[in-house]
Amino acid sequence: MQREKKGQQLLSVSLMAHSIKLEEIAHALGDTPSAADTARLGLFFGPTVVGYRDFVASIDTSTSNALLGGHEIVFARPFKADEPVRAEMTMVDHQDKNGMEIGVFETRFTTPAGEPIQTQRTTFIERARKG
Amino acid sequence: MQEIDRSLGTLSLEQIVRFSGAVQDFNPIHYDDAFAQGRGLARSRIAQGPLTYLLALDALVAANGVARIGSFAVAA
Repeated sequence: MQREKKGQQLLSVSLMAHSIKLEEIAHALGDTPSAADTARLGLFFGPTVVGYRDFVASIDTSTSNALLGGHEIVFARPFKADEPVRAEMTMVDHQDKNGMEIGVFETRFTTPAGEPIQTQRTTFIERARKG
Repeated sequence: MQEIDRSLGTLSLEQIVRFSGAVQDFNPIHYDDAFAQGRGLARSRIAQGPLTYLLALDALVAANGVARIGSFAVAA
């Protein structure tokens, strides 16, 4: 994990809350009676919003050593089907602790006009690499 | 908000693969047992963290309705 990226915006991207993707998430949840609503809350996972490989590359982390340590979401409202969305992700904290690196990433999802939709804070824990 | 005590059951490989496709996360640690064991996991593949927490969130939505969910947090 690149500690020097603390405080930096790592991602700023325009997305679509595609209805087909909402359906795919609902299917993965097992098509429960609430799955369609849940998909509108959890359509995107901030750090991998443009694919996990890009996230891994952006902070030079290791997929075999990094673990998801925690995830928080504050909702302003659910995503709407086929609405355009802006996503901006920043590494808001980095700490070295007991041979581990702890990185916290905040992803803000808004409309193109800046109306908040939700904010995610994600913590990753990575074992320090040898050598 | 009411307390929920609900088993989420066993995740199927189909759910994991469906989620991989939906979020474009094709890390083989999520669907390939041999790859996962080679990365030090004791038993087998592991589901995506976001899929696991979405199942918990789904239980909250089912019990309370989507309009009453203001925030959500999970910790490993």
